[in-house]
Amino acid sequence: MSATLNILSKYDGRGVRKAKTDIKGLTKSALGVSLGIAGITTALVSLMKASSKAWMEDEKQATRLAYTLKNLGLGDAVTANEAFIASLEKSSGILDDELRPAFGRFVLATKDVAISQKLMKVAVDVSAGTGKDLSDVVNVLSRAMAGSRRGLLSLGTGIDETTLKSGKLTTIFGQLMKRFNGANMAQIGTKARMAADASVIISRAMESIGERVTNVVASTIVDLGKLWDIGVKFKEAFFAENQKAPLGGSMFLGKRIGWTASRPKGVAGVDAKKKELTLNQYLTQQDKKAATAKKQLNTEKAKSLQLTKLSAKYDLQLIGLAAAKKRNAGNAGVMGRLSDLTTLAQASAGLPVSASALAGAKNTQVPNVVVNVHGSVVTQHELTQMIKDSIAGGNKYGFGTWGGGL
Amino acid sequence: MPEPIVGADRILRTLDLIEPKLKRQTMTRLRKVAGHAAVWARASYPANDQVLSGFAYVNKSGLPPVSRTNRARAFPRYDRSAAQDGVKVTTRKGKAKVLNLQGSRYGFVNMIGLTLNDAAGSIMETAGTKNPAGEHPAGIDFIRGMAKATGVGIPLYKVVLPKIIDSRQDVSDIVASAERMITKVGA
Repeated sequence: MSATLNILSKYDGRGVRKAKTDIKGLTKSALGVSLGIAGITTALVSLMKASSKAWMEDEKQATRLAYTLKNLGLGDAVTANEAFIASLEKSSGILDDELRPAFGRFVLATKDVAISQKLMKVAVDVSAGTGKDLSDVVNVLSRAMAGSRRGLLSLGTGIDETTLKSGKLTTIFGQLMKRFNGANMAQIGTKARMAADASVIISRAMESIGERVTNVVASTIVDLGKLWDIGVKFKEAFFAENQKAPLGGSMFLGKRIGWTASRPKGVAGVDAKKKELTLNQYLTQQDKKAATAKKQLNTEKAKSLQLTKLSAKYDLQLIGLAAAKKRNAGNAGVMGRLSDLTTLAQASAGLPVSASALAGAKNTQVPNVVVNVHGSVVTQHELTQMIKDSIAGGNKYGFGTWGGGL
Repeated sequence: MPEPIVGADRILRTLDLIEPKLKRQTMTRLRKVAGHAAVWARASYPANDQVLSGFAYVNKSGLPPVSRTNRARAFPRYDRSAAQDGVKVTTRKGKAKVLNLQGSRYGFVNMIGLTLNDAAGSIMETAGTKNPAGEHPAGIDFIRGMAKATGVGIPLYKVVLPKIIDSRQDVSDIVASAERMITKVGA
């Protein structure tokens, strides 16, 4: 027999750790057994959850797109557009969750449903041809529509820089359609497309299940809402002084269950009266608009340049004062003040001015205030601005040929 | 048993990671303290004639003593020199003593201590120790008897344990200096 007396000791919890590990293992194995019994239930519940989530997400995106269209004044095209998305989903193997945001971007860029649908087809073809994601392609194309075309180089579409520099949408999209037309349809029958189609079918099936499950839950909530309404009516009937709208009530629950309502419905088809443009016509229009805008910008630039040159050559303040004097020749009081201002401006510009005139002007005039051509008192900044406008606007204030004369 | 010095193992482990040489030095110092405790403990064993009759070297019946290795004997006899030889410094970890309901062991294990290899010496040290089942009355009687016989005059008679308790201050100092080493070297 021997005994040990510790001078220094340490804690050893290995036994407990081992026991914990054993218990964990036991729990796992027990779970395995219970899964065998309750596995089907769990799987069903998880399927219902996942499908409900998928359907709700789908509905959320559909509603979002519908509101975008409504806000753009294209509410009539909602239903037809949903049909288009469904058909494109089938033909392209791309989920509607991806197609709707892409379509939304095109609609925002073009404000035209038919053109956006045509652009979507081009985008799907380019996506299939280049192997890039649809979202990337749509991103680049919608930017190109807005004027930023550098992204097209990164897509690997083979469009050269000369074409990009020309800036013509007709040429760019013409080349895209020429190169990638039918690329989407050509992939039908390939293994990758079959897998994509399968995922679309599964997604659709899950959404369908989710719709049914959610409707059942929603109908339960509606029933509860009815019960609430009955309660409220009962209360109103027996407590007449509380006739005001109760907290909650059917409206409250109606809002709560608003998400269960069916998707927004619109009149089928696009407005028949509106003449539908082809994509090429639309792009030509856009090119023309861009050219006009560019021309306008150049004119503005030229005017600005002319103004800069003139302001460098002449003193705008003195020009304004001379113009004001010319206009107010009959008004002695105004003329006196204008003369004083002219004296002050000449002195500040370093021109020779008589000392007595300058002293008089300093005594009588309030700095930074001048008389304009119509005789009213305005600030100096306004007067200068008016003169600038007159130069840019082609002498619209009737100053005549004062520029060279003064 | 004295309260364990908490965290000493972690300090030594950290010191080993930072500078193994310092850890070895610390362990040497600790062993030296344990050695001093052992020497002191050996000197504290009572003489052969100071123990109780059950421990006596010569039986009261006058018969020759039975061999110490004879397991058939009811109680081991006490021999001072054998008990002194049995006291040794050990660093063996041993088993955790506490058992929970599931049979898992946990608790404090030895880092440095004294082992008592002699049976009579061990009994003298452990008799009357409290255990989960309580304190055995025979053990209490033994402690009282030994206290009376040796003239220690305390009801709790132990030989080695008081020396271990006395050496705790030195051990604490060494552990604290090890901690300071970590702070210095680590910084």
